[in-house]
Amino acid sequence: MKALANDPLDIVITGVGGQGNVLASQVLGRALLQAGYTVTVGETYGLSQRGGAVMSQVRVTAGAALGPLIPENRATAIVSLEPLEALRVLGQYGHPGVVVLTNDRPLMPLNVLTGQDKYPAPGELKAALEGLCAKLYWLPATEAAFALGAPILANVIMLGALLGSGLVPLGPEELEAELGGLFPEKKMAANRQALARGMELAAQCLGTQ
Amino acid sequence: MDRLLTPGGGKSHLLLGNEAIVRGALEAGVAFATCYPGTPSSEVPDTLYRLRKESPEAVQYYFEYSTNEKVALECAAGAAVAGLRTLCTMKHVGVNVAADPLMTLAYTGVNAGMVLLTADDPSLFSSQNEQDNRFYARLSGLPMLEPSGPAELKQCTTYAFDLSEQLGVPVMLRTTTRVNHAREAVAFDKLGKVKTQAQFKKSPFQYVTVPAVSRQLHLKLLKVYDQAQTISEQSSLNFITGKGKLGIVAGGVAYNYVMDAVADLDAAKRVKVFKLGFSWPLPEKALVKFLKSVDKVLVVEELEPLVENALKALAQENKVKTQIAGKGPKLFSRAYEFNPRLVRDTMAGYFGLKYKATKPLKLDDLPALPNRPPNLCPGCPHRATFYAVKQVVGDTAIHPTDIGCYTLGLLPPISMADFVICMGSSVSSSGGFSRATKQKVVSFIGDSTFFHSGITGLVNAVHNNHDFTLVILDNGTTAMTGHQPHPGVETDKIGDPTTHIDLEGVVRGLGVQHVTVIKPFKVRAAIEAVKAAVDYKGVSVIISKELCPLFARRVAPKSRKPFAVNLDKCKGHLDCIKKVACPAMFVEDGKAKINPLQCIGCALCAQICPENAILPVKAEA
Repeated sequence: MKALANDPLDIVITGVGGQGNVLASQVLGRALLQAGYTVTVGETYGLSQRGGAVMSQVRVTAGAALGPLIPENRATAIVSLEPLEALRVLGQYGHPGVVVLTNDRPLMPLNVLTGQDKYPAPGELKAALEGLCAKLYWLPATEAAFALGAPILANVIMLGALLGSGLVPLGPEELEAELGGLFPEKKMAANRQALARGMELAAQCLGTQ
Repeated sequence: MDRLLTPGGGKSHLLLGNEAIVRGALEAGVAFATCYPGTPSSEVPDTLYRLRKESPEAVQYYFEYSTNEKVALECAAGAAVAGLRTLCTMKHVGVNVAADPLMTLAYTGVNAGMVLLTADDPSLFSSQNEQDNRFYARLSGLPMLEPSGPAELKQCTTYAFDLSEQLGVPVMLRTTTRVNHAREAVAFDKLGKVKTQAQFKKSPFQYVTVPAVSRQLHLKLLKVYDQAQTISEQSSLNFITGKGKLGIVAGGVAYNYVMDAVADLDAAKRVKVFKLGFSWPLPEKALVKFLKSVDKVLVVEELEPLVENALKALAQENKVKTQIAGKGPKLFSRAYEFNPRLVRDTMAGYFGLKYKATKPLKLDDLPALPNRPPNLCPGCPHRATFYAVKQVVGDTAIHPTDIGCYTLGLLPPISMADFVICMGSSVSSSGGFSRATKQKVVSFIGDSTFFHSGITGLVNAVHNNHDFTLVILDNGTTAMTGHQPHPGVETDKIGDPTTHIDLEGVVRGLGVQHVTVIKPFKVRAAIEAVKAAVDYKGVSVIISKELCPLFARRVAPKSRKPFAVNLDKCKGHLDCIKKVACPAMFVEDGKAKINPLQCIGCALCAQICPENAILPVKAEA
């Protein structure tokens, strides 16, 4: 087994029920296991599937298996399919060295839609995230997914971005292989494009700094 | 073919805890499986159901979604007493429903391995309470295994079948949400041979529990307990790791947090951990020996101090002076699940170990973060039914409700949930509310929940001349737990070889005189039907029939025809948003708007709008 640059590598994947983050964590976990690492994934869902917040935690080590929960303030990276959820999770699991990758497209909670609650302005959210992490990838994943023809691909785009960030010891082929085990071949072209697009977005984000 | 059906062993796969239970049962040669679904247990039956459907040639077990947990356990008991290896799964509160047969099945015992999964839910992610079902092992006298993660879960499941056969009684497998919903590498062994047919041998003085028989059976069960304890003393599921004079006793998911903490605190040479996997009967001798070998002990167990209290009793009996702690101020709480930080900090505090914490973030300047509670989906028919009832009774009626998606009717602006304690309680408690008050009572129950435990309550209400209206929200599936079939499901829609039971026929058969079936998205007609039902003196039932849109998308897909607000017509009353709060709608510049990606075209808002400003989006030319 290859040693990890960060051991344990602790990744939180979060978002809103229905965005496909459980699938993302499953694909990532399977690929890391296949690459020879010890992987534990913890999932938090239940009632939250009906539009609530959903979180998965992927824990990777070259040593013995870890528990299914990341200790607070100890995540290596936070991948979020929704910017408000990124900030919520960052408060609990972040620390000054954490890397955050988030989709920039807000999904409004019901109380915001009905006007009882206020959603932070996008600029305010972005600034708050930037101020609290070592590196922010603020990515138009939903927009890119629309361009590929299916908004649901945002989760695979974010996985591609995670690859592009260089934080996980995997290449796109390894994630493709696991996606191939979960999707029929006719859906794989779009998934491959989504991974590649995510890597590009991360690279652009790195290039602008 | 699904990887779970791989005949050979050797390879490891990343499995969800609940999938590991399935693989473990298949490796044990399970022949019969029953359940009632419920988080966090649902993926066990759902996987068994899916595998049978996808690969009927490759699976040999019988599987059913039973009507409720009592029925599931009794059906399983028949198969296990006849001689088949049997698995029965449910969530923790489901065991309450099944407790009656369980207590006496422990007396009769079984003739082939029988495993009962109790999936507990500390912190109540999707439950009405967080009861500690380790009590059920103590109450019934049955052995209990408590694995810490998916790999152990598979191993324990297979072993539980063997243990059950060795002892002749069912074995309880107890998990918690964090174990059911964890994924880790699980090494496969070979699939087991399946004995699919049994021959029942009559033995009424073992199986017919009249008092004279049961008096003897109780003594037999006590002997089984002693035998189980001897096995527990030797079990490799109970082991000690690490060394030092500081002792920990832990089992289940908490063991993982302890081991993470030992590494964090760099205390492997100071902390010795007794891992309790065969958790009932307790391996008392091994535990006493452990107590004697350390200076102080911290018991790390979620919920109730069962092991802690047992250890204190053992220490007293055996004159062991070791300090034992677990629950209390500055220690662990009896409420909620644990987490790694809590366990690490409590261990550090109790043992006086130093820990350099990671610097937390300064969160003072953060904008206020709006909460994100779950809500009814866009196009959910429950929203329309609630709306119709509210138009008739306003905010004055009492609304006993039940367990399902519609419990979310609790949240504003619907706010139509006044009392719920368990499956089926809506119907029975309505009788109490209506007799005790002069208020109108309109209660809500889902179709699956009605079949689960609403029927007996309705019989009671009709027989005792209660006066209330029961609304059965018939969305054709068990929506909340993942769209499992139930007796009322239209079996042709899902292609199952089961028999459809007609809900309306059942209700009429129970003697209800006023029964109306409504289509909730026909708002005006629905309101009229509710009026008539509420005016009726006696028990009236409204069956509100409309498929769950998530289920419909799978079994009867239709093209979506979203609606849009005509902003010239919209005068900004916002009734559509204030009264029903559909997640597809939002307010912009004082007017309502509809997100076309979320709207499924249920047309509820269009019927509410006083300006008739909400219209179907015209197909683009």
